[in-house]
Amino acid sequence: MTTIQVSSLMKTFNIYRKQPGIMGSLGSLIKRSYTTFTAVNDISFSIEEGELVGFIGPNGAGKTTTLKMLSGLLYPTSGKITVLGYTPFERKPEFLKKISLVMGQKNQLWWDLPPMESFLLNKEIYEVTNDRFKTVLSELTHLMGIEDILNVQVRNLSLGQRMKCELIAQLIHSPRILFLDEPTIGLDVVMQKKLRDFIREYNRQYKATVILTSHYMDDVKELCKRVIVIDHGKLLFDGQLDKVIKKYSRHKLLSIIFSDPPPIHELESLGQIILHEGQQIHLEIEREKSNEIAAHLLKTYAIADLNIEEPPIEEIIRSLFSEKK
Amino acid sequence: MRSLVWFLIPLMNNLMLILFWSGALKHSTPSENWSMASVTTYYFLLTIAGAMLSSHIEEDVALIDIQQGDLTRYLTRPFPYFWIKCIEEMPYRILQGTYGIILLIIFTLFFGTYIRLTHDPIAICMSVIIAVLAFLITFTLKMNLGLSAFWFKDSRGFFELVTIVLIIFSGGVVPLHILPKAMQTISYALPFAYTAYFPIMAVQGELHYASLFQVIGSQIFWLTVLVGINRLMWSRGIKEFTAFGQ
Repeated sequence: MTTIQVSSLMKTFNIYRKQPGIMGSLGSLIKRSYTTFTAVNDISFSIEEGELVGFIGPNGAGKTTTLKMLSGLLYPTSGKITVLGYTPFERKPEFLKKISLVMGQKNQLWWDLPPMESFLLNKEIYEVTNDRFKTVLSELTHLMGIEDILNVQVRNLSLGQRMKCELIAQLIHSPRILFLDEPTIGLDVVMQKKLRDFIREYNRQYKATVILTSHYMDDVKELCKRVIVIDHGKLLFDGQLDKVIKKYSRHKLLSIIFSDPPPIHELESLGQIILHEGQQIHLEIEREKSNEIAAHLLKTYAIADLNIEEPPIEEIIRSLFSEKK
Repeated sequence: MRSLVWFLIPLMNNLMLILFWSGALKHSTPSENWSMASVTTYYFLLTIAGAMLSSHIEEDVALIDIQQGDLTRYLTRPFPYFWIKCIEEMPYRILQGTYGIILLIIFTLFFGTYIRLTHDPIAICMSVIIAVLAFLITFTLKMNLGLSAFWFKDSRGFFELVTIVLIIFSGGVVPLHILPKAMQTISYALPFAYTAYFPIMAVQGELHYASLFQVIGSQIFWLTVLVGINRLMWSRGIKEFTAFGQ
């Protein structure tokens, strides 16, 4: 079942340009010059129920703007969005009760009160029954492992603890769609992992649709089978993550540990040596020839270990962006 | 503590005005509706009205919610922004108003002859209605001022200007009935008088039933106008909201 349908979506902003200096300031009193910035440029896609989709793109690509339009915060300049059968910008209470938007850079909890107070407020706002609230809260706090901090003032919590509470506050009403904008930003690697595990588990347990934007490719790699890549407001790719890798990575990486000194000259004729440390070699080779070259090396030389690896996803995305420019 | 300080500042200003009027009345003949008792009551009630009925959300709405983008917190919740802000504002008004009421009770215990309040239960009930409507008028007015930030980048000068006008025409300096006739006419034609002056007059027992009903009618009229403007500004402005900084 399609939960999100986006067609020909556009969002433009009028941005005021001021000339520097006092003359610029005086000039702006008489005539202001505006330029139109296209944040999202004619994108279309659809998302099925229960999917976990990653939105990838550099800063200013239009990821967050798209997310804001999907959650009803921004009014689209043109195009059509349907989320769970609703038009997001109408912000009907029935629609808002089925979604949640979590922004990693923004704290929605009350700073001076314990998180439990914010949870209770959300319970009332979203009209969650007492029994349902108790069940969901107990499940979520258990999943997050934060049973002991529910009554501590938010200002006294660490960033990781706050982010966990933030997520719980947004999930009290068991939303069917979860929009996550940079949920792991600023967190250490351990906390990032915990949060990713939680998101995966929530998606599995509640069959919720999750749309995630992140600059950390680990978030996307670990969570999303499908990615939507946008840059300069345009959709560059929409499909399975492994297809991005196949489509945009023309190389593979052979990681070899030779038993004898490596045959550098022959290796240079087969591909590009990325790393050479003693007996260890990292060789970048053409994707299509990877099996053939690996077999040849194994047959010809004494090799202690050999692995065929995909290049890092960050590199593939980088090459995708540079290719599409 | 912060709210107590905010209560004490206007209290000091009003105590100064009481001092000024006590000097002025010594050298003139007090009228029936402007004696030392009515002066003292008026300025005590003005302090309570300022603390309890005057909302100050315009900068919060304009700077924090719209310009810094905190509005996103409210927009994704299935509850109208107007009412969330209104409910958020109420504890401050109740707390500050309570300080004023406690002060008035203490003052009445020691200087009862200087305080003149209505004892008529019907007038008291109608005064409560007038007070609630007065709060809603100031709240909606200030909310509308704040919403102007959808279009204007810096409205603080405009806010200050409106505050000055509001203070003068709501009876914040002197009661409207001792202003020159022309000023009185202007005051009664504006919504500001219904936010402080008339609620004070009602509690002082200066208004007859007919006048009380007339005040409530005018308040409902102004509230309807302001809510209409609010709906218009919101529906147009929200399309301009960029949620920058979020």
